[in-house]
Amino acid sequence: MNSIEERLRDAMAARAEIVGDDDRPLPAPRPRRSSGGGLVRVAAVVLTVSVTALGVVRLAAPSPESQESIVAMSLSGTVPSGGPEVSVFLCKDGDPIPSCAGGGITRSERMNLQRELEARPEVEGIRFEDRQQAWDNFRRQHEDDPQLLKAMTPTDMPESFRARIRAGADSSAVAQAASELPGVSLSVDQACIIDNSPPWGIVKRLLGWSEQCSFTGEGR
Amino acid sequence: MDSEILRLAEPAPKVSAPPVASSDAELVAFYRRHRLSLVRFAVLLLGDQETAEDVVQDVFTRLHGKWRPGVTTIAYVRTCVLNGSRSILRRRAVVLRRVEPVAGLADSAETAALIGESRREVLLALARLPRRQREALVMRYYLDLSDAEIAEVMRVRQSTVRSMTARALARLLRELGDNA
Repeated sequence: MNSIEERLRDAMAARAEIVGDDDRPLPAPRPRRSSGGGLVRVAAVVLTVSVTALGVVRLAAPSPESQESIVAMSLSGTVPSGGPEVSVFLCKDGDPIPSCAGGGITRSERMNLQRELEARPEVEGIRFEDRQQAWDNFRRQHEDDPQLLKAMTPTDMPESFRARIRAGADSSAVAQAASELPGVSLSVDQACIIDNSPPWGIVKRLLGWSEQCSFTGEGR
Repeated sequence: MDSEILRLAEPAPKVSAPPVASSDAELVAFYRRHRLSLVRFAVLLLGDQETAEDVVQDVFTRLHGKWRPGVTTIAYVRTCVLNGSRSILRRRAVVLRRVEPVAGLADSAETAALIGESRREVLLALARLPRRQREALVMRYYLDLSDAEIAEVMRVRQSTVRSMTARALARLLRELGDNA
């Protein structure tokens, strides 16, 4: 009788053996993004973030009354200068998102979230963005839209943790895991959004390859 | 970021020319030496060869200009392949709204004919395992890595590797025990 370990060894070796060498050459480097298109890219990202976040939230909770806060959240999820991050937005009182039904994030939920994020091997470091910082960023990004700015107040802004992801690590796993923790309203994988923004994003969507870039909270 | 906190899993390849000038040549040599084994590794994680090849090509596309002797080790590249495979599986699960067993590992008639019924049973059971358990088994019994090496690639503790392996083996034994 073969031990299970021997059977595994044998079966895997046999399966691997089927994969022959086809002498594919080393692929060319990935083209670098030109810095000239920066502004357009950020604008596209803002748009994509709001579209994905709104889409997801609409699916989850068809309540039209406080969409402003969702818009604020998604719009404040833009790409920082230090490279893409995973943004984890915290529940605040009155959020229309089902996972925030119990009110704002509690102190212990916040500490737990921070600990879990810091413990993830993909995460290089995290920072906290408070309401005022979120509002400042939001205002800076939308100076040319006075109507939007008039409709919003700093209290519409969610607080968030921003996790820097190591090069080559799986940022989507971090975004998904964060959304499963209590007190989280939404987490957004920015690398994914950049990958899926025009022009490639359109092609990918047509081919049905679009990835999920934002994850609504799973609740308490 | 190039400051990956990685211990050396195996000695860095010998470099004779200065590292800056030779980094591309080194990448080519590394690619030639390890590509097939990385594709085979990815096949066992993902099931189908085409996707496995894409994952490996994608990893090498990203390695250009990032080659650091002693830092870009086979362990590091395996971690990249593992992450790439996980992303694919997660995307499939999102599209299907459930986790499916890994398709293509042993369910095609062609594979069955090539490897035989008994091995096919083992692979089908492997395809049904939870993702992390399958990953641990592939690294232990196909790549012959130690607990420490598997822990490094998966970025978990060695004790976690041991418990995942034990649980996976117990489950396979339950499923295959009758005709072992």
